[in-house]
Amino acid sequence: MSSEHRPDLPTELIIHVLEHLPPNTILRLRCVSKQFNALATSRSLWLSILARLPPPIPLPLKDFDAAAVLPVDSLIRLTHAAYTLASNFASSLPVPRRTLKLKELHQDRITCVAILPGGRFLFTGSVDGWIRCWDLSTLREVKSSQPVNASNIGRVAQLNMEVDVSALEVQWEGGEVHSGAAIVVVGSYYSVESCRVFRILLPSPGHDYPLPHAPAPHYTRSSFFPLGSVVQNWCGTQSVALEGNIVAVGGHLSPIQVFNWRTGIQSVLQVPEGDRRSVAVIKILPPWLVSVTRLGQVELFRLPQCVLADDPSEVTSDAAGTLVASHTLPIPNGPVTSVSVSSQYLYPPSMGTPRRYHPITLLVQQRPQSTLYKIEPLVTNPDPDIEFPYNFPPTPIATHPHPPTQLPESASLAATGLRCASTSSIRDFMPFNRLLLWSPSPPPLPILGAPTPASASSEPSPGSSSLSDALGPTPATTRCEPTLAPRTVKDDTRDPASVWMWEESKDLYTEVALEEELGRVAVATARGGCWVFDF
Amino acid sequence: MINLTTSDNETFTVDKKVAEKSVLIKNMLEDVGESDQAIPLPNVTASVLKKVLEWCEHHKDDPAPPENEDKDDTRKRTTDISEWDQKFIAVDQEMLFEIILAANYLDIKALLDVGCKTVANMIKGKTPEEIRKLFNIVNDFTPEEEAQIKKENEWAEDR
Repeated sequence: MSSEHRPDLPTELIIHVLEHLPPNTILRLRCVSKQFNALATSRSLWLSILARLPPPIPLPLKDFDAAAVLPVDSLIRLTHAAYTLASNFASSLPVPRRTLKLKELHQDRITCVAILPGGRFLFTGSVDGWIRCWDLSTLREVKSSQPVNASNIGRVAQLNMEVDVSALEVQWEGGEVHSGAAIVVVGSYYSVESCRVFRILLPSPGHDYPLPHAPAPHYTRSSFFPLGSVVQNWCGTQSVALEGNIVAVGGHLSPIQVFNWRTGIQSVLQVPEGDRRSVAVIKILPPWLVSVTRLGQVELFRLPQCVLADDPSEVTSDAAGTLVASHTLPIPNGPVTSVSVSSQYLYPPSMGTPRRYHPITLLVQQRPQSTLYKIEPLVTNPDPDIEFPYNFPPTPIATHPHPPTQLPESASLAATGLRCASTSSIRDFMPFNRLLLWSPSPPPLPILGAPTPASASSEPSPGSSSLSDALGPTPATTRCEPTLAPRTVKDDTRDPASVWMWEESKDLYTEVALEEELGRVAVATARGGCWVFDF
Repeated sequence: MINLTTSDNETFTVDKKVAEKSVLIKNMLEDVGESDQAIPLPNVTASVLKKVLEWCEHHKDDPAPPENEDKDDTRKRTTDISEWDQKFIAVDQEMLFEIILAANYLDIKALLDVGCKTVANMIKGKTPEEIRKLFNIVNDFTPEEEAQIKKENEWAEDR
């Protein structure tokens, strides 16, 4: 057939074709003709590509209405960035775009590190007593492998706690990246105050995406404004949690304390008499709270009504929080070193549909492996009155073995539970550290986003994971099969290349934080420095 | 059974179930009710309709797509064209475009997707000149304008 007889596709159909192409290919099509240039840069095309992207969606675009009024070149830039990040993580070998070594952020060991969603602001706390907030957008021009001294990083705020800092949590006020303020909870092991709560005003925008025409981010100084503190008997704070107005403090040997910083009402979570525990992690998922102790006890509490209420006049009972369920994970090789819990547990509410829950994922660091556990939502439509609409106990879904000589250290799990960062080390006279970035189920692109209750597997067997089912067919080479017997490394059929690894021998790694929307990982060190990896 | 008449006046008799893969025909049947009168399809030729009906026949037992399109369901793989569909769509380019146009006119979303994904796969890795040939278009840019666009695209290339 000669090309003269060939029908032309109308514009709407060409857009339909372009929707199936990667952003880079679409942008190259601009050179074809004026018509293609107009189509390849049309808002409707990029909005529909954005709608197809798997979570997490870059923050400035999270609100679809906001994306619809964004300048189209910014929309393209952000969609491109989100797509690039998702494909980088989906590839068998995710490679960071940039690696930065930040030096001398503190005089001593950094014990806590956190990145606010959007990736622009990094928070650190150290045994030197200081908490600091850093503006990483001031490092946009810095290339990989150039060590950056603290004096060259925008330091937004700092505060001397005058006592060791053992735990820190930070969240955008109201959960909104555009709110211009964040709430910070700081815990100290030795202080009689179990924790202190601060508010910090932050320059906008809250994210670190370079956008066309946007002025260079304006770096300004701010300060930690005290909102309140929990004073009780010394509890040896080891972990803190924050969700909205609710703060929780887990200590060395005392019940978990909960606190609403807006109303000032405090309470505790009751545990059986005489059962004292050392809390490794707490996550608030209102109206529940999940905690894991160093001895592997996973506990689910119902938060007390007096703390859940944001208005003191709504408080109807001062009863303490109650234990809903408890399960002890096997810990054959001594205590758990670190645990991280995914925080995304509710699907955004939509009209007329019953409330839906994400699985809750736990990343447990323990010699000789990191294990990922999942608490699956009940498959059947949950009864709204049910105490906890999940299948309990947690099911192990994946492991990553560490060489027997490596001691697993800290762990960080992204909000969606799809990406894990963990560190391990050999503590010899020459420290040897390793950072691992791995995904329990590859790849998050370009696949179905969320499991629907109807399609989720009801089999609680260790081999089945509704997450990976929902993520569609997974290539056998990158699938992470559960290997539950310790030290059976050969059972792990996952292709080792699907894990990104970074090794270093100069400085001990302490804590790790993972921000999945911008694709930023921060690893703090014992000498007060911090590595930043941008994907 | 349903009768369909093409633009070149050929009449096809098909199962109602097969014809109703087309939302256009389904709606027509709902509006006017079933009758012996053939449904005219003035935008489709016999050769194309034959091909489209072949697809509808093969997919007639597929579950209907959900009514209110969930956002989750729109996130589809580019390459996930089933084997049968791949063979079915391995036609010359004229026929491919005709099928896409017919699927669009007849409102058969799944077939339209198969066609568009196939064209998308054809575009991948092609130079602008090859794409112009593919879509039968001329380059209406001046060299300066083309250079300007390349410059505007630079940020995306070095990532």
